[in-house]
Amino acid sequence: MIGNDIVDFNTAALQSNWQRKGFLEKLFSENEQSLILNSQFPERRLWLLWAMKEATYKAHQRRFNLPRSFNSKQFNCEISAGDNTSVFGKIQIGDCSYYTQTFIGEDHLHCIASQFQHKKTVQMVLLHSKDIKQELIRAVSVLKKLPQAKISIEKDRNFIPYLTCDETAINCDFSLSHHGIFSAFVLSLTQS
Amino acid sequence: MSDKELLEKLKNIVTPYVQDKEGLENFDENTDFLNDLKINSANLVDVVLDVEDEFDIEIDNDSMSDMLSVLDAKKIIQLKLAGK
Repeated sequence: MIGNDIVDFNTAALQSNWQRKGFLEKLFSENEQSLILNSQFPERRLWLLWAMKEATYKAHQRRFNLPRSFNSKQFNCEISAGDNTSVFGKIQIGDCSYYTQTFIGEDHLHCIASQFQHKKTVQMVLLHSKDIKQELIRAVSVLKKLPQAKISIEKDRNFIPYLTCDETAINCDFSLSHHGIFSAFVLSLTQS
Repeated sequence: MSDKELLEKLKNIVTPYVQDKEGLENFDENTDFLNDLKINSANLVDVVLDVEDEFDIEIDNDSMSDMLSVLDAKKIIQLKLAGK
């Protein structure tokens, strides 16, 4: 399964005061906190680790059809490799491992998590109020050879989104994310 | 503390993080932080920290994981207050 998370740096700076007492401790392990605090750009590093956790949470929740939970601390992040624009990571939750790749731009970052390394996906990041759901539906319509007008996005009892065509569920691995002026999706090109 | 008082305090705490102000008009036990108020997930930690300060309680990780609605928060606050 896959998940994704987008962070708008300007919005994050307005919405969160990450330096407030307790903020880091509630979300990050001691090891992750030192990765943040010893970084040259602590705020960027923080949102990188946060997005890794969020993207993995979405993949993990979809994989096991779990009820929602705000349990960021259970997702243990390691940074494997990377540079200023792309970072590879590995996340452990319980006995499960996930792999992430994060693309870092000037004003946002976009993280994709997957159960498998080198998963083939299509992804898109859109600006402003462009309709990411319509873009996802368009991509699914091409991938699955289904009529676009009949595809819609629903949510299940755990609030996990799924796609239907003519009210029949489509077997499709995808994830949506919004933050600030950005929205994004990732769609798996292979069955999982 | 009465239920009404507790809910009033909780409403004041979440208000700065609410993205969908319409959700505040029908604020009650059934209000969901994510679905109804569209609170950004990173701000859930601020709600937890503000609740800790306001009620002078400590919210452990397990309790924090479950704090996704007004009812969840109310139950956790009452439990922690009773254990003080």
